[in-house]
Amino acid sequence: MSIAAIAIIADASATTTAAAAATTATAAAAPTAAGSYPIDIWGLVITVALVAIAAGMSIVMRLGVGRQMLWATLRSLIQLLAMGYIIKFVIETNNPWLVFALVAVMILAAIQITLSRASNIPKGLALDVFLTLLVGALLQFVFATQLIVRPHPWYAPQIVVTMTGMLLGNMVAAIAVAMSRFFDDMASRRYEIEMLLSLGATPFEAAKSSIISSVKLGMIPTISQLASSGIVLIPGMMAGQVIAGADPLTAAKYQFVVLAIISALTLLADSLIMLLVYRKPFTALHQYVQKA
Amino acid sequence: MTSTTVPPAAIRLVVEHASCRVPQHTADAHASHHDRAHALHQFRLPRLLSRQHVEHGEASVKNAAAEINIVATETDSVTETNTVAEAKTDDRTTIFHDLAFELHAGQIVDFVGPSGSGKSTLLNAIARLNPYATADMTLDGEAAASMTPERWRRLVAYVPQRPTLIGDTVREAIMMPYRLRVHQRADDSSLPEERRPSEETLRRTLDEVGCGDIELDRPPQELSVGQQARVCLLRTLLTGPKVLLADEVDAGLDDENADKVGRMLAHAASRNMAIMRVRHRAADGRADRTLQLRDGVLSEVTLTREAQQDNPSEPGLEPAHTQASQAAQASQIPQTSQASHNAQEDEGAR
Repeated sequence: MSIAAIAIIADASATTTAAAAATTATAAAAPTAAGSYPIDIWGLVITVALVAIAAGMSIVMRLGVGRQMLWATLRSLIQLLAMGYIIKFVIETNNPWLVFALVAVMILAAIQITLSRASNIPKGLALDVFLTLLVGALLQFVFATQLIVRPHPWYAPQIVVTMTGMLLGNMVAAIAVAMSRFFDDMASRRYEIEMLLSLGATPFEAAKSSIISSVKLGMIPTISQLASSGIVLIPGMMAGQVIAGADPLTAAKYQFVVLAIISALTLLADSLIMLLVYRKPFTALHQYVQKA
Repeated sequence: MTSTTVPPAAIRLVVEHASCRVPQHTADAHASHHDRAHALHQFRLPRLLSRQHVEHGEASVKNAAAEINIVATETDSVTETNTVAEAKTDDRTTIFHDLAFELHAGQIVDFVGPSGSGKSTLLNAIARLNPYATADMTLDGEAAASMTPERWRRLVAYVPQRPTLIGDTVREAIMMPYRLRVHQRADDSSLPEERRPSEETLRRTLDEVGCGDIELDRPPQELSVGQQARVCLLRTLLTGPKVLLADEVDAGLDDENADKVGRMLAHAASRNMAIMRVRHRAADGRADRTLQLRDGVLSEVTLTREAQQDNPSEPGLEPAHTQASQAAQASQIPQTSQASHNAQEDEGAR
């Protein structure tokens, strides 16, 4: 279950939190899995204690990240457990409206997190981010969920919420990076932009090199994820499934499908947000305005 | 210098009601000089009088090739006591307000004035690059508002002060504009391929304008600043605009390079281009007219004899000119920074 969904966006990458997601997913999908090792309250306490020790080391060595890490870990625990309860409830209720309501809440949270993660961006981009995330989620729903996975019922929250969560996590990271980079790059290229405009370039022509470098930068995490999966690390979803006792080959296929589709949709979202946003630094008369 | 056979109606850029008001933070760059740009306080009556004065002085020496139409904004003695607070309303500072002038084919107009007076801003505004400026402009009768900004900028080309070159080689950098859509569409009936200069045209033009020292295969970053400035100018000149606005393109250059730049512009003017150049150097005799922007007032400037030594007056026209300037002086109203209209300007425009 993607209890992980919101937590993905807040902290770790899609892979690690998907682990916890996949665990409960396969547990629900295959309740008879013999290899399932549930975690009790003491497990959680020991985990928090370990994190506290690490934070303590940071304080002793004056690294300065101790408090941040402690707080983030606690936040993560609360968010994950909350999401766990919510998803459990949604599964038991078995109502498609509720599933999509949950997805809508996840998207709204994703917008807020994207905007706060992207630095130095102008105001008023919420709608563009929303459109991009929505398009990504819809495409995933149509192609990945319905055509490839084909769950029964079609709105099965275990699949829909989980996969949407993982996609949102990747998209948020890519979009936030791309937007930050774009506006920074435009600002540092302002003499070049002025020169291009004075030669008759359209805003797109003037912004093109910034657009390209921003899309590329946004895709780096996703592409390296693809490159390293299997060899360097077993992605969280597959790991979770294997921990829960599923057939590793099935888990691998699942992981590939999810990862490949998420990467493709992330590239799409990355490009789409650029197309929606590149005109912001220009006026209606195609003049470049540098915000103070 | 300029061709004497320039038909008067060929290429005429009319600028009217040019105004620029910037938000406070961007105005800081123009700081102290704009504390005095009280063009907000326009007094209609004196302005009307000054207009008559200019036309009167001109009437007797009207030259078909040089219709000069200057309307200067007025700052009267009262404005000197105006405080900064009054000049700024709703946290915007006025750089200039309601300026007007014209540019003609084959003319080089020097644009001078104190640093920060808004010369670059005005040039930017004419090229429709400035988001804070407005102006009513027509080029050969076609209104700027009726064209896309890109098309206007292709016809009225602004050359920024800082040389910026994009490309792996100088050749690529010079040809870069032809990758832009606006240069690929056939405006007149010419094909895009025809308008793109060939290799030999390129080399020949470079040599013609004193850029024989620039190799086409080198990376642009390896050029000296002077060479880069010339390449940037050439890049714009090759796109064949009707009007060229050169914003201090010889700034920071040594005298030799600056002279080469001046020659490039003179060469273009002889090919009928209308040119306006912002300069902080002493006059080099290539300009037909000189405009000055000071404290938000645009006025025509007469160059002294020494400055015009490259442009001796013709004896035959002397009496008429003297009469005209005397007449102008007689009707001149004492003003703070209005320069008198001098008939020698007309002569230079021939």
